[in-house]
Amino acid sequence: MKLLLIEDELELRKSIRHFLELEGNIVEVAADFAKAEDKTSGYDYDCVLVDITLPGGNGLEIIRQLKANKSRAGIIIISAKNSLDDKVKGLDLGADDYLPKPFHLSELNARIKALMRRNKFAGEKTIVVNEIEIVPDERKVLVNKKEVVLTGKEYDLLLYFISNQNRVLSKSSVAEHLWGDHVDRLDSLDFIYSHIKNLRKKLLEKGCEDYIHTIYGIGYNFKTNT
Amino acid sequence: MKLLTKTSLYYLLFSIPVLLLAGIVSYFIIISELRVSNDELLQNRLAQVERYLQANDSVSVGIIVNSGEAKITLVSNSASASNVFSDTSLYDTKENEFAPFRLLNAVVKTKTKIYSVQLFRSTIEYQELFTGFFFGLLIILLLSAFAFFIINYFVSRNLWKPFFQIVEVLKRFRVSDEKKPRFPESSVSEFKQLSESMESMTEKLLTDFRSQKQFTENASHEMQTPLAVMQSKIDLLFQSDKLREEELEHIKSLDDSVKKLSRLNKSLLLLSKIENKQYLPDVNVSLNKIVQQSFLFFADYFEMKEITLEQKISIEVTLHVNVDLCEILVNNLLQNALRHSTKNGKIIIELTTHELVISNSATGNALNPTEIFKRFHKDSNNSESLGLGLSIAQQIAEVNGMELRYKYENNLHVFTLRF
Repeated sequence: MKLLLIEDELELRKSIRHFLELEGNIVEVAADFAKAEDKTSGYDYDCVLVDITLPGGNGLEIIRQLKANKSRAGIIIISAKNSLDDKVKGLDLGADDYLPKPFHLSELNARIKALMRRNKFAGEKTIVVNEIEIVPDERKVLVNKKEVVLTGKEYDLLLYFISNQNRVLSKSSVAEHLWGDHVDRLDSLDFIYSHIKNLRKKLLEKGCEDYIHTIYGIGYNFKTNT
Repeated sequence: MKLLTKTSLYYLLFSIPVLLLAGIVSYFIIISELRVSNDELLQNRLAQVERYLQANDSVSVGIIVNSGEAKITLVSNSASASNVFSDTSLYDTKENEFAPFRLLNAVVKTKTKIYSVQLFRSTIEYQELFTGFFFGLLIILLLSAFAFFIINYFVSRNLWKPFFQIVEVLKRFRVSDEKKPRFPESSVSEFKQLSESMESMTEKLLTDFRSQKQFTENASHEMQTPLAVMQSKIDLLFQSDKLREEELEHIKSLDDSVKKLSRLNKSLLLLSKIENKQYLPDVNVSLNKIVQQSFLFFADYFEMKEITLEQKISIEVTLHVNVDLCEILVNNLLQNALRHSTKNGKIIIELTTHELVISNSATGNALNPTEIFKRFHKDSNNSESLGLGLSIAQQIAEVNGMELRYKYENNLHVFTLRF
C-alpha cells in the first residue's frame, strides 16, 4: 500500500513511518501544509493520514481538496486536538476515521487495514492467514474451513492480532482497542487474559496452530512467521 | 422590598415629625397673631364704648351691652385707670357651658361719672383652630403617601426601565454562547454608566473565555503530541527482539505511566471543558438507552467479578442533555460501582421519573460524602484510579442542572442522580 503521512512532529513522523514500513507499506511524508498540498495534488495514495494542526494551514483543508479532486484515498485524521468540533467537521468533509493522539501504532495500523478492507470494491472479501479465514462483512471466522463461533470481543481481538501479526502488542494497547480509552481503566487488565484464553482455546479446538504467544507481564505476539 | 418602596417609606416616616413640627409652629404663630388681633379688636371696642359714654349715647351702649360682649357698671372711684387684659372662663349662656374668653378690664371716665368697663371675646376658635390644624396635617400626610405611591408606580415603570432591562440582559447572558450582549441605552447617566461598565465587563469575560478555551485546547495539543511521540517510541521498542526481559519490564512501566499520564491529561481537559460549559445540552436523550449501553460496555467486568445486576427499570426516561456527557456520567457511576463492589457482590440500578440510583455492595464502611467528589480523591488501595471519575460525574450533573448525591445504606454505597 502507498500511504501519505502528513504530520509536523518529526519524531512521531519517524515512528509511524517506521512501523508502517515494517508492515510492507510505502510511506511518504509531508511535514507542513504546502508539502502536503504538493503531494496530494501530484500523486495518488491508498490512504492519507492527516494531522489537523499543521504549519502553514489546516489539515481539514487538505481533506477538502482531496474530496474536491474525487480522490479515492482513505483518509484518517490523527489529531491532538481532541475536540468534538474537529472530529465532526473532519468526518463531515469525508474523512473515514478519527484517531486522537496519543495512540498506539498497532491501533493506527489496525485502523488503516480496516479502512483499506472497507474501501476495496472488488477482490478479496476475506482475510486469509494460513488456516484462518475471516469474513469481515459477516464477522465470521473459519479455521480449516470450519466455522469458529466467537464472541464480539474475541472476534475484535483476533482481527486486531491479525492486523498486527508478528508485532508485540502491549496489554494496554489491546485493552484500549477493545474498550476504548474514554473511561478510566478498571483495576485489572486480566479481562484481556480471559478473552485471550477463550479465543486461543476455540482456535485450538478447530485444529488451528497456536499463534498467540504471551510475553509475560508485557503483552502478546501473534506469530505467524516462525 | 423594592428600593423605591423603601425610600418612599423613609420619606413618609421622616415627613411625619417635619409636618408635626411645622404644624405646631404655625399653630402658635397663628394663635399669637389671633391674640394680637383680638386684643386690638377689644381695644377698638373700648374706644367705641368710651366714645358712646362720653357722648352719653345710652342707646348704642345698650346695644353693646345686650350683645353680651360687654359689662358696664358705674363705680364711685377708681384706683387705676389702666387697661388690663386677662384670660378667663365664663359661662356662655348661648352654649350652656363654660368657655374660654379674653377679657379687657378698663375704667372710663366721663366728665361726671366713672365706669368700669369689661369687654370680653370668646376664644373658643383657638380649639377649633387646633382640631382644624390636626386634621389638615393628617390629610396632607395621607395625600403625600398616596402621591408617593402613584409616583413610585410611574417612576418604577419608566425611570427604572433601563435598569430592569439591564438585569434581564444579564440574566440571559451565557459566556459559552460567545455572543456579545446588547445593553439598553439610557439618557440617565447612572444607567448609562451601568450599561457601559456591564458592556466592558461582559466583553472582558468573553475574551477571557475565548482565550481560556484556546488555552485548554492548546495545552491539550502541546501535551498530547509529546505523549504521542513517547507512546510511539515505546510501541517501537516493544517490537525489538534484541531486548532482554528486564529491559522489557522497564519499557512496560514506561508504557503504563505514559498511558496514565495521557488519561490524566484527557480527564483534566474534559473537566475544564465541562466547567467552561463548552458542552451544551443539545438533544433529547433516552437515559434507558445510555444505561443499557453502559451495561454492555461493562459486561465483561460484571462477568469476571461475578457481580449480580439487579435492574429496577420500569419507565422510559428522556433527558435534554449532551449525549457524550451523559454517557460519560453513567459510565463513570457504573464503573465506580464495579470498582468498589466485592467479588460476588451486587449492583442495583433503579430508574424512576426523577432519579437514577446506582448502589453497590460495600467492601468497607461509609465514605465521606463530600470528599469522594473531590478531584484526585483516592482510596489508598487502588493505584489504577485517577480519582477523577466521580468528580467528572458530579461536574457533568451540575452543569446539566442535576444533582449527584452519595449515601451509605444497608451496607450499600448508594449514588443518587436527581434530574
